[in-house]
Amino acid sequence: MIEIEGLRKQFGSVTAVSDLSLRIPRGGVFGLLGPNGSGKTTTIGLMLGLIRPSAGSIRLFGQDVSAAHQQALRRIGAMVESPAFYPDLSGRANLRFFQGIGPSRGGKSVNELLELVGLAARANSKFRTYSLGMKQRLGIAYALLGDPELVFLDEPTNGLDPSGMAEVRELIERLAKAGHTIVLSSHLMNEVEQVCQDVAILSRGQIIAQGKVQDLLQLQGTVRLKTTADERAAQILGALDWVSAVRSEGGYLIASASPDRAGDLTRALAQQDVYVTEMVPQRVSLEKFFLQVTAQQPDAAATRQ
Amino acid sequence: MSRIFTVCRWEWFKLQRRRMPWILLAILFAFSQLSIWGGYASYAFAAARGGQVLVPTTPTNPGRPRMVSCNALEQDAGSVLPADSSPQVVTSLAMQCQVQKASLATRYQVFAPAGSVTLTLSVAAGLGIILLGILSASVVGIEYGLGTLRPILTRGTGRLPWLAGKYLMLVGVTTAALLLVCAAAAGSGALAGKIAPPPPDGPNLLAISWSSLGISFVKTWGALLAFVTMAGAVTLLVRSTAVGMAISLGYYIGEGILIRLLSIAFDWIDKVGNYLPMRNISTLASFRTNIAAAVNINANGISALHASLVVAAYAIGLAAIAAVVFRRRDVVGAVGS
Repeated sequence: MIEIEGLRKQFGSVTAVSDLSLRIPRGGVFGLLGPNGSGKTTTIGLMLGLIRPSAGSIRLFGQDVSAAHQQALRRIGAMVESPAFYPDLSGRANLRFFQGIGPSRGGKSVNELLELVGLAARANSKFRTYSLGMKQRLGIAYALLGDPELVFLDEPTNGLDPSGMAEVRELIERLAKAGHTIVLSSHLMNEVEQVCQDVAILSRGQIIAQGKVQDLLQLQGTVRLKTTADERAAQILGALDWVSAVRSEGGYLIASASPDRAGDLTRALAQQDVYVTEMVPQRVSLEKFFLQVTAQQPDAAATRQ
Repeated sequence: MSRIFTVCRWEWFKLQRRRMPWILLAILFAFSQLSIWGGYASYAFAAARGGQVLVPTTPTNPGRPRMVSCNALEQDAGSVLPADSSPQVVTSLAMQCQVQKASLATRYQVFAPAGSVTLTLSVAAGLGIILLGILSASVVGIEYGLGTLRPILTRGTGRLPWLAGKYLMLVGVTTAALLLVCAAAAGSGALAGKIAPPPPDGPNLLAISWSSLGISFVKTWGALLAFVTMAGAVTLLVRSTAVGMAISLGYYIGEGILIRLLSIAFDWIDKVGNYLPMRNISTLASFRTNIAAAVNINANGISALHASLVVAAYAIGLAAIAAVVFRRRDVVGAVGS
């Protein structure tokens, strides 16, 4: 659905996005993960044509956006950065305005969208009286105007309380099930881990990891075990090509391998007459994975100049 | 084209819900009406008393000079004037009263329907330009101030149709506002003309023809649109309502002052002024009572055609530059710098 090749954006001496290549498949929820200032919003801005790229190409729905940008935008809904609306208009009037200026594409009515995001009761209140959470909800409703195939949500749970965040996550999952492709930008690892199937991690304008969430996490998983002969076990495991490292820690062996391969690991040891007495497969969280991969990045100043 | 009209329609949807345009319209309306009813009050007062003259002091009647109505003077000059008033003073006062009575016909025309529209066009050409400059900067700059440019552009409207739609809405609002205040002025003028005492026979120095009024309306309308376009373009270039407003209105006021100051030192500067926007806008918006004067050379030595061409060149040029820059410009928030 989205293909990006060699994308670069320079703001004066600052390289906001550098040599970014990305493929976002149709359907599901794609997470764009990164710390603040990593280039997530700039990347979305480039995809939406708000920002002109310094180099590289972007294809949306199979078409180069430099040639057919307006057509592509008609199939897209987006909430970029903080939700910005007219303070003197009500939530309903704001949505009517944005529905009016855009191309007519059908989809849910303004009232249905307000109902969907839980703002029906305050639909006639002026936007300036809304709480941050209500503003976010209106932003999501705005992004869903016209039943878009592709929806960009930039930090949609900012300012929401835990129950509000859970509701938004549920809504995103519902939208994905209904056939929308969602691109979710966030710095909240837990959020991305819970709702995204695919993820790209940005740091200092570059993609440092990309793939299925489960695959990425398994790559960083470990298996903690005790055996009848730990030294011999370490040698056997170290020789396996799907175990990237083995170390001893607190009386346990820690094998860097996918937790899903715990059975294979037991079998490999048993074949050499070493038996497992205790084993705990350990998955890493996306947060831990993120911290590991971003820690490997060079100094910020070196990449951004 | 349909997208431009769609944007125009929804921009109006948004604007009509703001208080600011109604306040600006109310100010224009109030000043227009004040000038009409002020003219009526002044005429009614003068007509009731036949004018007023200042009676000077004499040796037998010292103190301060006092105002005396011409009607009283005509009816019984002896009781109104000091006994030792010289014949020259009496003759002079009688002549002053005659002049004032003769001017009543002209003063009546100031608030009569055609005159009231003329007054309103003058208000629009002066105060109206400032008010429309504020409106234009606000309409164009609001998206930058609120950060709503991103959601607008991601709706797939297109940058140039969006800009053209905004301008079209401003043209419509300017036209409607001008027509509205002129219609109200004509109504007030008709009412004032009915309730005012009829003017005595006398020369009407303000003989306004409806055709010259039409030309003046079109010229004032053109001048207002040119300024609206320029203020909008400047706001778009600087990406701020406040800065756009300050530059537009500052220039509107400052151009004349600067030219006048510089022309003290350099004679040729005054000629340069003939090619600057504000002098030409003022020329275009200035009222002439007959067709010949309306289309011919004015006090600055600038013809209406010259003024039209210069104003159009500035308005179109600035709008084109702003459109090109806006089309190519990044719409960014934080860039992580």
